[in-house]
Amino acid sequence: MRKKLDVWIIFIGLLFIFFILSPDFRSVGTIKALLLLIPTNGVIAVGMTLVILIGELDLSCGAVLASSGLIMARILPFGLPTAILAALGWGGFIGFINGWSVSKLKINSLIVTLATTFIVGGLSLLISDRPLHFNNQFLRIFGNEGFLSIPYTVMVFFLLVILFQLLLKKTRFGLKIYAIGGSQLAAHYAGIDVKRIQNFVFIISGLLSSLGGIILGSRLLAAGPIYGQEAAIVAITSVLIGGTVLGGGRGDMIKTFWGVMVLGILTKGMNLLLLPAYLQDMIVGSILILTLISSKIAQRKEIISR
Amino acid sequence: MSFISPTFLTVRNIVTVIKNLTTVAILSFGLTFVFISGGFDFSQGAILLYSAILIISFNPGTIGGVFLYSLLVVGIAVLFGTFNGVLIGFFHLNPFVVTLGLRNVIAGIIFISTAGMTVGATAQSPVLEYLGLGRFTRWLPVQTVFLISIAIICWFVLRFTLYGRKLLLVGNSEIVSAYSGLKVEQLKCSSYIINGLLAGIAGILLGSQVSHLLPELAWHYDYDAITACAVGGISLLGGRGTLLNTISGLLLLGFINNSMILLGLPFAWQQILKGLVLFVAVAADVWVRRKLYE
Repeated sequence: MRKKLDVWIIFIGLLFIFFILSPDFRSVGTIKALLLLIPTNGVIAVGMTLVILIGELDLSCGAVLASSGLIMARILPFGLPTAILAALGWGGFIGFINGWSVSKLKINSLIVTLATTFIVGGLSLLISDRPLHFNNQFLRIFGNEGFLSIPYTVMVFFLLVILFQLLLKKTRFGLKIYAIGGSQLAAHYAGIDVKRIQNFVFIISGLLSSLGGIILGSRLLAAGPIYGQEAAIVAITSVLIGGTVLGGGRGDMIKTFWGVMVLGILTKGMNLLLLPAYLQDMIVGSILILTLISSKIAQRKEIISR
Repeated sequence: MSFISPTFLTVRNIVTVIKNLTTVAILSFGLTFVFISGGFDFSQGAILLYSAILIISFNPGTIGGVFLYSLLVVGIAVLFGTFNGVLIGFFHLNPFVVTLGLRNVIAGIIFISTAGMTVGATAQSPVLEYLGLGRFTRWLPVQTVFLISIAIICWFVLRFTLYGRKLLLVGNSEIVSAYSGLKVEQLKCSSYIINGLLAGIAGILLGSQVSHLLPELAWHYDYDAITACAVGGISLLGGRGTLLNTISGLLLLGFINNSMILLGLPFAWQQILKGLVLFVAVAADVWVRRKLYE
């Protein structure tokens, strides 16, 4: 017997509720607009899932997102491929610094990423203290158009989810991630190179955060130093809603996918119901706390029933 | 620094540095309790702002009114702290994420109650104005007296009472302290309550200092407080540090801030430097720990 309420059921339920409550919700255009808002958080949540699976946290997502958007905007005159590579390279570099500090210096990942948030945030203010607007045909199409009314950015998100799900479930790398999340010490004694995996995961998280910046930039055709400040908490919340457990070792990408969808539909659906936008902060925060409580209760029940 | 800027070593500047530290200082005293018991708090900056906004937006007029209203505001702050404490202490939830969530919730409440605009007192009550801007003699601001007395109380509690010792033990090892009969859950909870209380008091002092406040621009206090604790040598992993650590960290951070302003460094560079200082401080803490174990 299935006792747990799966997240996708909540998603369908929410879809249904908004469908009834809001007439605007019943058009294809609205759904497409809603879909466009999801992938920025989605790709960051994919990276965050890996980070949470090995039992760490990454707060620097928002700063990396903003700064890579700015870098892309600044380098765009030198050609699009260079700009995108530079942005991704920057994200990967920050991810490497985070990973190196966690694995080699053994600093708490939260504090490291808090410090890099300051540093990267300051650097992006140096790059530009106001939003930069740019125009690029390819980026405009990539960010706003789609194939068969599925936006390209959403396809990228779907592809990443599938790719990383396979990586987690079918490869040795994925197995090692679960092992480290279960117990770092045990993984170390089992001969797994914990430091290398930690480095790798943080680099991936950095890369995906800057991909989030590129996606946001291509949708808005602009980049600014304070864009995406909330990215980290939103990503953490969507990962946890999905059912991935804080502390590591349990969870996967499909869960995160549904978590992203639920949070996306909840916060953006509220806009359609004409609830004020600033309620979103509160909703994200309270959902985060509620999810934590409920997952704790579920864990306790599991232990008792064993 | 005193060579580069002639104003640096004047009494006036030093008094200014200490006065500007008041808010961050009281926050970091609260954080000290949380840190040495092995916890973490992201939400106190939000609690601070909310109480500051409450104090600014209402004008009780008389001394008694101000006193009662301040009690109410501190009560709300304590309520937030208790919320954290119960969830983290008794439900064993992750302190980072709980307080991050509460921070967002309070940010939402602040946004709703201010509609994103500057909060301003229509007519600031003279009592609050004296609390915020008054001086006892030429060089001693009222706020600094508050600051020093709170510091002495906190120092005494942490250094000389059984409670302070228990908190340290809990931060060192929860298992050991549980086996030695300490009520770990209650102790952890209490540290968050104290943190909420101090954040509320800091909010009242901040609110009385300024008659207008744009919440959007005031989100940096708690990060400064975290940095001050880390720089002073409070271990963010728990179990180590006294209030003197925090105070030395505060003074260092205050003078770094002050120097950056006197040198005319742009905000972006100030951010970068603060991040580097936090990074180096924590790295040094971890390094010292490892040396101790070896």
